[in-house]
Amino acid sequence: MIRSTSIALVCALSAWQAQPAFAYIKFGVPAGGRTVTLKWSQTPRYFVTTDTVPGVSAADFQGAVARAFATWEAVPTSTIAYQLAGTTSARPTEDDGSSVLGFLDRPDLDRVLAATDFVIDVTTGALIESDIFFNSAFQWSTAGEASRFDLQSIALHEIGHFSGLGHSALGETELREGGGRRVIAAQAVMFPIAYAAGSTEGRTLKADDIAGITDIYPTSDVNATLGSISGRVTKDGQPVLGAHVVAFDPSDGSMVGGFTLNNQGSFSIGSLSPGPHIVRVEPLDDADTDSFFSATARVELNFRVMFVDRVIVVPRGGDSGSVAIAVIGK
Amino acid sequence: MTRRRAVAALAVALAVRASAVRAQPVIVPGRLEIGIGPQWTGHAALGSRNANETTGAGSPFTLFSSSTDLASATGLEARIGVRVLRRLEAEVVGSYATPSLVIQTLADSESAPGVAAKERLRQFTIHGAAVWYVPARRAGARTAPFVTAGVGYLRHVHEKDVLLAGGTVYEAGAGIKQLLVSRDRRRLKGVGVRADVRAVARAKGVAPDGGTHVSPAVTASLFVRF
Repeated sequence: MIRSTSIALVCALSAWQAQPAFAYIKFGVPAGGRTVTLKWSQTPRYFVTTDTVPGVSAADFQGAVARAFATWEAVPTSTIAYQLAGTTSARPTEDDGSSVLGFLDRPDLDRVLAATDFVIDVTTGALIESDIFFNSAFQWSTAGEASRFDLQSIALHEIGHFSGLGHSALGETELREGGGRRVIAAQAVMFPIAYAAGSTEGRTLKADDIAGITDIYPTSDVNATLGSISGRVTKDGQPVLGAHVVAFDPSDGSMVGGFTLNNQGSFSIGSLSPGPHIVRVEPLDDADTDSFFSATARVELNFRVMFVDRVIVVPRGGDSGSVAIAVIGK
Repeated sequence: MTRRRAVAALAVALAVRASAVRAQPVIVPGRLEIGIGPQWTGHAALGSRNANETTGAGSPFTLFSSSTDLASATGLEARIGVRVLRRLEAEVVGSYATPSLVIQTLADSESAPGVAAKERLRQFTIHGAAVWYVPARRAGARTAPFVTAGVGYLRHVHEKDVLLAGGTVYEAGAGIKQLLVSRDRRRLKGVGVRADVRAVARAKGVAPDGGTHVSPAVTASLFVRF
């Protein structure tokens, strides 16, 4: 029988510091003795609450959330679609079989802007419910007002989690004096740390986000038209866990990232445009590693950023063949 | 003789002389020509592209830069030509070469050492061309200078038989044919060598910017005429 499990997983987006999550660009969950990709097996239906916060009316909230859902739906290589089921007075944290988005006052989570949690069918890995709360302890806006966080941008990130995506590491940060990190730049909506208040740059999906959602919900022609790069990262002959591997397409400047995810140091970056790519490898040093991996994972951070010294060609509808990358300690 | 008549006579005399010089027959005998030989094509800069991230204000933050080149390469060129007019031939030309695609990375924001990443490609072209034999005062009886221009199809394939891209190739240049053996009354009417210098414009193909890029090309070939 189906056993619903609420996991406190927790794909939170914080202005300063992310909460734990695991992932590459998609979540894997144990189900039936194996690891399967976390995804919806049917069109997800969601409710929105009518709660308001200063600067955001119920209509503003529903409009911003609807635009964020529509942005994910507009990815041409993905079949993901969502259905608004209506409004509700339920809180967005109840395990009641309904997916709910709404505000929640959580001043205790002083670094968490919003969070997504799931109820999963542990026999199949299918998503049953996913709730998103936006922390009303922060100031919000739907119009890009300075000093207020952009609801649509944050909703776009959380809906990525809602759909099964984990965090991306395509971003640069610097440490803040008071702790936490400040984003210098990012090239993925799914980067775990948000832009500063007032920015609306997070409203647009990037190549990495599009590749991620395509990987989980591909259209029927994707396998024939897109390709992948796979390989293995080692250091001193030993496999590296947690290396961030980025494929750069010089034809359009796009970047799609992945991670070495297992004890063999293997990686695979899917949904890439066919053609020549440059591959860059870096340690996960622009966010806390537990934004990407479980806190107990032994993620290797002690190696230098490097490029692979050959052009990697992505075949249409195929894989590059295994790319061996040997990184060097700092 | 009036002055007007004298001028006219001089003009006619000059015209006759010029005509006599230019009236040398095209020395290449026969109607059909088959040739083959090595071709060298120079490198082409295929453009540059930054790996940009986006700041909160919407401005680009360059993670690193890249520039792409198609390296020079020596390949093989084969051609079949047919004389369609006294000085004009039509040709079908095919070529094969294995240039390296080189993508150089530089200016990494996290100080990653730049690399010149390479991968060898296979380049096929097939194009149609016109060859016009140019009248020349100093050309010997066995030497025929010409100009040529053509257009055709370009195909870049990765070594693993992965089609990377197709495109268009445009060529224009000049050259010279030197007849080594000439036999007017035999089926094989001549054997000679040919040298061309051309500008080769490759449009699209593997170029990341999708643009047209010009390289020099030099071909030397041996031909036979029937």
